[in-house]
Amino acid sequence: MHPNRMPAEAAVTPSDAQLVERALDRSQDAYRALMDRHASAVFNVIARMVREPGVAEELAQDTFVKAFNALRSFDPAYKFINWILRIAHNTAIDHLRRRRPDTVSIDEETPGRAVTEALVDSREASPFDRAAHADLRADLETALAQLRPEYRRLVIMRYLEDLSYEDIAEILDLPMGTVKSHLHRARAEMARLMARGGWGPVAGDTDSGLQPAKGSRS
Amino acid sequence: MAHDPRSIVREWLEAEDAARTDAADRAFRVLAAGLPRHQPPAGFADAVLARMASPAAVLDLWASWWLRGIVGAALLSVGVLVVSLTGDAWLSAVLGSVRTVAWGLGHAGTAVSAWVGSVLTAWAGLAHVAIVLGRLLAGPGAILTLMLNLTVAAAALMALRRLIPMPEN
Repeated sequence: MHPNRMPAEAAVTPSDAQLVERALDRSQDAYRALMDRHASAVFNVIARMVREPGVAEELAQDTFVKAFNALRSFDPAYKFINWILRIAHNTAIDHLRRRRPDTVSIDEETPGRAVTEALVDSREASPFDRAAHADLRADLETALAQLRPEYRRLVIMRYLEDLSYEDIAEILDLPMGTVKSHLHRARAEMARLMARGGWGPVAGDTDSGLQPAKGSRS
Repeated sequence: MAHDPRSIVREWLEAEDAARTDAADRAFRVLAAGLPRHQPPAGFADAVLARMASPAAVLDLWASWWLRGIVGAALLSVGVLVVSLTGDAWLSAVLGSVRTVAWGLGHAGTAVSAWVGSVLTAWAGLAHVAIVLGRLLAGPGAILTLMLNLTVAAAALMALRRLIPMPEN
């Protein structure tokens, strides 16, 4: 065989179900491949849920250890990413319940900002990282951090992980209608927080006319 | 749709304010795409594999029946070998130990039963006193005295109510 020629099947990217089968045969490469594919989503969801960088890494590791030890219970009829995100979500929720009630008052000044800054080392470069939009990114991050966990998890999965309503409903074991209505409320809540931060009209306020906004061009 | 993030924020907030859900969803999606993703640190996969390697592998190995059978057979053969090598001396030592333990347990049982007996005797004495008191109180003399007391108390109360003037409204 020509040294540069690969067998046809080796060139095809294996599916998650195939990797799971190989992982069940104790293939280290299969474990690594599954982590290469899904560690980013798992870590992102957990980091934004718990908002503690060191803890997020530990919980993400816990998630994969639990998943790999329970790999025989994985049903290939379902998506692996949904299965592992469900484990990640449950792991994060368990941590939040153990730690303290994580409902943050929307009247609190900027509780998410410090944690957001602490997480800055573990993130990719972003279009908002340019100095001109740094305040927008920071305010969006803070508004997201101020959401209650039940809403925050939905925004993360829908808008940051780009999951469908069906996938989110499966991961969280919620009816689709609940997912949609909660997402709508979560987005509206973030809009209120952004508006109060000076980005536009405050919905529901009596004097909700356009106030001097950070986003306006003067 | 505008491309400047600040303009997109305005579009999003105005859409939310006007309850234009689809427009709000589109605008927010663009903004959210600009937020950074938190990435696992380098060496994450190695750390996971290191954590799951040893205990899981041992547990998984122990789950196989053939390994359990081999370990069981090995233990049994070692036991048989020990008995056959040491013979009666070993057996009598074990039996002696068992006898000692049984004797100790027997004595402990006797002590416990004696303590329970004394407690029951004390309870019987208290019960006897209670029965005697009950009989005394249930007799006609005690009931008559009680009725007399109640009558005197009622009469005294009525007399007091007549003596004390009622306050005027």
